[in-house]
Amino acid sequence: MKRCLDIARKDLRSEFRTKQMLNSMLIFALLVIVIFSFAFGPYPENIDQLAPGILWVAFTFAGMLGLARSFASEKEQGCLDGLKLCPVDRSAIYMGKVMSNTVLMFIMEMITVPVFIVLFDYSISNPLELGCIIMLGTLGFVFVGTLLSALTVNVRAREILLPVILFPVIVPVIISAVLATGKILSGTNDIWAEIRILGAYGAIFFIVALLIFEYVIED
Amino acid sequence: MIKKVLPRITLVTMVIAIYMIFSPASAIYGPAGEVLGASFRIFYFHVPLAWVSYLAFFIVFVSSVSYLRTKEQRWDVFASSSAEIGVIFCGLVLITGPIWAKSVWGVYWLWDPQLTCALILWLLYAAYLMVRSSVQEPERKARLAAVYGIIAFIGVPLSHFSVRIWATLHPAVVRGGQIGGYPVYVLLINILAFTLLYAYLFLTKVSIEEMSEEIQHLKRQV
Repeated sequence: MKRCLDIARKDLRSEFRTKQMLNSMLIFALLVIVIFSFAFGPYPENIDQLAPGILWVAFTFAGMLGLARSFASEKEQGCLDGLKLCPVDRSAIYMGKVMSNTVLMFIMEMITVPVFIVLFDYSISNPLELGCIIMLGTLGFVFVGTLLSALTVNVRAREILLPVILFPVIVPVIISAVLATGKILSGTNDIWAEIRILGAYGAIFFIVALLIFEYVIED
Repeated sequence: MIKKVLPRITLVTMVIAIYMIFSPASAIYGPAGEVLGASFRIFYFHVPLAWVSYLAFFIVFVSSVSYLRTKEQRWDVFASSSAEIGVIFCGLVLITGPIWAKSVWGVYWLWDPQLTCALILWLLYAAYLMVRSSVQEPERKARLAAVYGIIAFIGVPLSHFSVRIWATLHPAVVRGGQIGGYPVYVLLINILAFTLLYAYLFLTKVSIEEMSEEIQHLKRQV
């Protein structure tokens, strides 16, 4: 566990020195929201149906940028080989990467959500539930995304391959998170079914990823 | 032995199955007892195709797990052959579905849970083939594809659950009348015929892969 934290800390430290990734994720997420607002016009009638989708498209697209760099940045100067030589379990590398990716996603989301709320004029009556859904959705996305990011790291055209293979797998996360966010924004609190799917998704893929991660970075 | 017999059995079963589809007795009756239009006969293709694509993807999953456990080339060949056939059959499901839907529901596409799941399934395994095509080295290709084969298969039931709660927001689709009696046998023999077709295609693909492996081997010797 401590080793996972060490790997995560190393990632975050090198990230916060430049903040390059974080800044581009953040700007990209904001851009997605703004561009969707332009595309749907200033006062669309069915904004309650569109808004949750916009939010999650922003999260997943921006998250994709972070994930694509997550392992690719390790390739420079052979850091990945160094990591693999460390006397730690391979799953510790996965855990560490999951932690650093999650932290980056959370920071991006903590800034994006207030902007979203201001732009679309929502008042959140139950921020706790919204936070819970965002957390579960983000975890599910990061669990799968980190594994697939490692899978594509040594592949040619990885920038294209990662979204193509990641999006079909995270369909359940997007569907459930968008539904639940929509319900929270409109004031209904019956989100138990979505929470169950998000929870099951996160748990299943976390365990599977821990089991098969070592095959992904074997070479 | 099996390579000689299987194509013949497949051909005979297929001919019988298609004959049965177009025989008058296999008409399906609607809830009120009326004969549903001729377009309903596509149902006898649609269901076996869907069944075969599920079977093919299940075999991809089993082969992927076996490959990671044993690292035997054979399992990778099984997984890739099955995935290719599965994507084709699933694509045919997505083509026959809308043709049927147009005449029954009046629209080509509805975001009905089953249609949506078939679409997600097709996307997942098309992505699987993308993984295969973007890696060159045989060993790494097999390993990464096996990992993705496992992930994709686990994603299927989860997509199904989430699509179910999502699709309840949309108008419910009235599915066709119950079938019973003779049409059930027609359906079963079609499922058998398409499963045999899958087995035949699968064995052919595997032997093609083996031959290309052998050619590579001979080339290296020369």
